[in-house]
Amino acid sequence: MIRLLGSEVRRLLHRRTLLWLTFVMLGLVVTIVVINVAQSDTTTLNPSDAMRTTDLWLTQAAARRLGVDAVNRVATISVLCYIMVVVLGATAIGAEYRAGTVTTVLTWEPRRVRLLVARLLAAAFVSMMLFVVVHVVFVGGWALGAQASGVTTGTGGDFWRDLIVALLRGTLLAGMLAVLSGSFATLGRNTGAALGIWFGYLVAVEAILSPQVKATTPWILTLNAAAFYGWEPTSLNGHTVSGGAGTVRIVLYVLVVGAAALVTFTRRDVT
Amino acid sequence: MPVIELVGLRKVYRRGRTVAIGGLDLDVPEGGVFGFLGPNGSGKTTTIRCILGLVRASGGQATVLGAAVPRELARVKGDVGSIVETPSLFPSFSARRNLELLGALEGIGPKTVAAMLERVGLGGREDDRVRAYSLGMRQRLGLAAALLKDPALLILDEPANGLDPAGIKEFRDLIRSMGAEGRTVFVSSHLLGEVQQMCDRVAIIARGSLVTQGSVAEVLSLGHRARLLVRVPEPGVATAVLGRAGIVASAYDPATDLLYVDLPPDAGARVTEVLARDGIYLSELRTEEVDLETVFLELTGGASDPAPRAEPGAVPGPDAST
Repeated sequence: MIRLLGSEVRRLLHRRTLLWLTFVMLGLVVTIVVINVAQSDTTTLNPSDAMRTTDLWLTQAAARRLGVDAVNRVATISVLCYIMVVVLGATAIGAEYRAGTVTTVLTWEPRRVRLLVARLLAAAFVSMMLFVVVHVVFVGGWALGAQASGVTTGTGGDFWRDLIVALLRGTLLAGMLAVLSGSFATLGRNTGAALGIWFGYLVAVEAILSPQVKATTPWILTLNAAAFYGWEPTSLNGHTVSGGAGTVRIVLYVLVVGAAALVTFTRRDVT
Repeated sequence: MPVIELVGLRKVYRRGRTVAIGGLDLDVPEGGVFGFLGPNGSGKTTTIRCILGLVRASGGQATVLGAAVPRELARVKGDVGSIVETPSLFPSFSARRNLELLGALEGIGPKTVAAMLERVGLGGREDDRVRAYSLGMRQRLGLAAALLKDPALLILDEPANGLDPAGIKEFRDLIRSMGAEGRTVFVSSHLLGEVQQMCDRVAIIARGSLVTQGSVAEVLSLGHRARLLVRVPEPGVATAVLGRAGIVASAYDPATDLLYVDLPPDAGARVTEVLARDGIYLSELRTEEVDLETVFLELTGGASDPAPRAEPGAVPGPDAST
């Protein structure tokens, strides 16, 4: 299993898609940091405050959509990262179907459960790496700016501990979203189908159904993801979800969709 | 013990409305090259996919190297190399990277990969992206991937697709050397001339069922009896002369200008005597060759897989002349 996992991780790391996604994310993050450092004065440059005063429309809009406190900028950067992770998870599996390499690899590893689990874990691992790299650059950018200006108000041990714990949860969430996305790609047998499922879900359930049928709100993915990441009661459409409840539901979704993908993959003919 | 054993293998689609394999029985003995022949749509590739566990059989049993498919296939995966149709590898990766990633699954290192790429003639192009490879080069790469595990059993589905004549000959030599080394090579192909030259045993299937299997000589013996081919200046007259002597000339091929005389190969002297008595002197007398293609077409009802053979036409009348 270790060999298989290692091979799958290497396969993903060599994909140009990953390279592009990483460049895009890092470029975006660096741009945000530079713009905000340029706009900040000595009272807002310290990492703690700077992360709360960014007013880029993109990050604000993303934060509002998630039901996250709009001043929590780390979470909004994470949202952009999660979009990349969803694409990465989908293409990790979908590209194999497109290239037809599923046939080839199955003649080397016929145990399908083992193969798909390794692929989903590889997608999760690489997604988590992407998430960590992007956030280290983001937080590191602010910290360097603040250090250079000598303004580090509010960046004591508590700040860093809370930030690291939050990012650890965020990293786990990135892994779970990659598994979900990879499972969708397995069910749909290509990247486009997986992204279509995501898009359809976000539009049909989260944007249309949930505001109309409010009883569904506690079950929607983004609200539970935000509650898990923020680890605090998070509200949307009059419903509040705690961090614990969000965690349970996210894990449940990953298990159910992952199991459906496994069952489908083991029973389906590869032609 | 057979290396591959199929007992009543069935595969149906659309809830049984389409039968791809209808109860196929097959024994592939250990060692040598085994040819698997059948017209298009006869179930060759589906059978191979069933053997490799890619397609779930609807019924029957398949055993590979003593392991039941698909349950125990993992036990023998290191001993089975395969190509199924056009080899599928990542087009944006180089040949070397593709093989190194596959090899890593079995602990095969870069040196073995480099040696294998050299062996199949891709040395010097190993760092090119697979996307830039021709079909023939992809076939070679697929063969390298199949050989990487140093398998005891090699399963090749139409492996000569896209190869040029030199590549086909090279490939044939390679396959024969594999068989001579004691490996078992199970190869499906529609290049019947190639199969006849490189295989020790063959099986012919049609409509998902076995038509026959055996050594090449045994299968060839199932064809029609070889006839005598005679070239004479006036085939119409010669036919009449032979007819008066009780000898049947059943066909005439204007393309080759040959009469097909229904006598066994050892009756050439009698034909010569009868014709010479009437002043007809033949310029050629030989035995018809019954090849695998002929037998294949006869046994499968002239299905469309190989290029149809030009059949001799009707025998010309006595007044016909060349």
